[in-house]
Amino acid sequence: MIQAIPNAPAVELIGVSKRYGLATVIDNVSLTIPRGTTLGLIGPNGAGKSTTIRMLMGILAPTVGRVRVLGIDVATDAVQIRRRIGYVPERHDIYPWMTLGEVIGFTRPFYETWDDSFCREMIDLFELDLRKKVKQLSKGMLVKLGLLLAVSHRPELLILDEPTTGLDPIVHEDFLDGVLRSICDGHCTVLFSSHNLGDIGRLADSVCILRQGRIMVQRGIEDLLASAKRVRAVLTDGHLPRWVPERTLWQQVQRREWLLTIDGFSPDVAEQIKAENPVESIEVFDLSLADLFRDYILGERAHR
Amino acid sequence: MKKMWQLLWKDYRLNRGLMVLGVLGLIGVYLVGLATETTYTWPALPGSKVWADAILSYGHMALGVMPFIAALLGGNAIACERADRSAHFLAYLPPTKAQILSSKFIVIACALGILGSGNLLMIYVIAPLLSPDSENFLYMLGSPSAALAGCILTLGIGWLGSAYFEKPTIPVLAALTSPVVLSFGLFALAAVCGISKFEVAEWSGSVAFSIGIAAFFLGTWNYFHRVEP
Repeated sequence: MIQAIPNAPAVELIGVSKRYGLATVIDNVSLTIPRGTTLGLIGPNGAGKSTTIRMLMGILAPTVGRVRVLGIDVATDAVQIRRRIGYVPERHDIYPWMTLGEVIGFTRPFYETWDDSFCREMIDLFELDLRKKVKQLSKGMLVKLGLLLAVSHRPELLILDEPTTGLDPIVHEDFLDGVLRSICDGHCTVLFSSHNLGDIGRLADSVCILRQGRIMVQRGIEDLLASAKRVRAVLTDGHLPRWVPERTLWQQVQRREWLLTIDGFSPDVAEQIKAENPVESIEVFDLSLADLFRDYILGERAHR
Repeated sequence: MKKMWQLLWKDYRLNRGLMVLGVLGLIGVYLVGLATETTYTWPALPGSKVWADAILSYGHMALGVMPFIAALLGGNAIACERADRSAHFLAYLPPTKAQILSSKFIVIACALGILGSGNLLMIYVIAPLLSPDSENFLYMLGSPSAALAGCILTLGIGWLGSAYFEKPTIPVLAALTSPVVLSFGLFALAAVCGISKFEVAEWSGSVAFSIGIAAFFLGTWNYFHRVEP
């Protein structure tokens, strides 16, 4: 019996890399998710989000590094971990010939902590017909079933891998409602991978941006949004910027308009931009998470 | 215990079609045999001795069908869940690989056991009841030990292929052809080494048995050591 480390973070990736031949999909990633928090994992397609999640689930072995979930090394006891986590994949591969009732009946005995009343509550919330076969379900219903199966045993860690892709707005709302219930009712840690930054902003405490297998940033969302600002400077005619602040994430010059996204912005930075560059005026704007994500990715791309 | 029952139920449902096919295959052999015998005496029905001889003879022929049923079940065992990706769903749930594999093996073993027992019941109980001096006029076909060796060979090869491949087609084909390949291989070896064909035929059952068992354990080993579903 493998002993879990008490009070360990919900998720710990330590120097994890995953290579397929010469291709490096995950490159020396270290990530920690404290218990009881919600982390949004975002990144462009092919960033390595699903690979990271599959390593957490123990169905993909890292080439290098260690993966610990709920204090247990995934390589030594993935089964014990799976008893305590819930997982909603992007693609649902539930036995198509089973009815919903059969799927629930099949899944239930595998979890000692299965909560029948919560399961019933979710069935009612999602208006699921237990007599229907899985193959007859729409994409939205399938996602709802996936969430029901993932949360009915009251997991300590809930992993959502781009679950809302392609859902209509109503089902999308129902799904988020279900996730919120499972978060609010217990002390669940959530890892939420999504392209929908609105969902991340709504659910997550912190965000991790992944690009080409590397972590670009992992911070609290409020901290990140408070720290990063968009600056719009108007340059004097015929001049280009001479000095760029150190923590500029992204910049663009179009005619006289100079746009910058700066992390760790303060009024002093604005004063210094004015002092060091030929600018006529400066305006500062707050950014949305979507803007910030875009600027991180575009800025990184420009640096390469 | 409840989770083992759920896995057994799931594996029974996954293999139900093949089991029905197996039953129909066995019944088909008997029906063809009985229909053939009936045509000789038509419009009169055959006597109990003829029925007994037919059951005994076609029962032995049906034993020869058993390895093919084992091939279907073995080749389908693991790969069928990879083909429709339901293996991924199962991989996210907490049953151990030992539980998953035991359930598959128990269902296949029970299915083959029931079908084989039914066949042996026809040969060793029903036929002698109809006529104590019944004879196998298709004497060259099948014997329980050869059928058992054949079943173990095809089940083992199918199981091994199923543990490696993503779809059951290749494992099933490999398992179905394995008795033929083994026979040709052994006779070719006999020709090269100058051994008599009868001698080869004598120990071909042991070779089939050994290869089947080895393939089964190799497939099981691969399943346990594979990280991906």
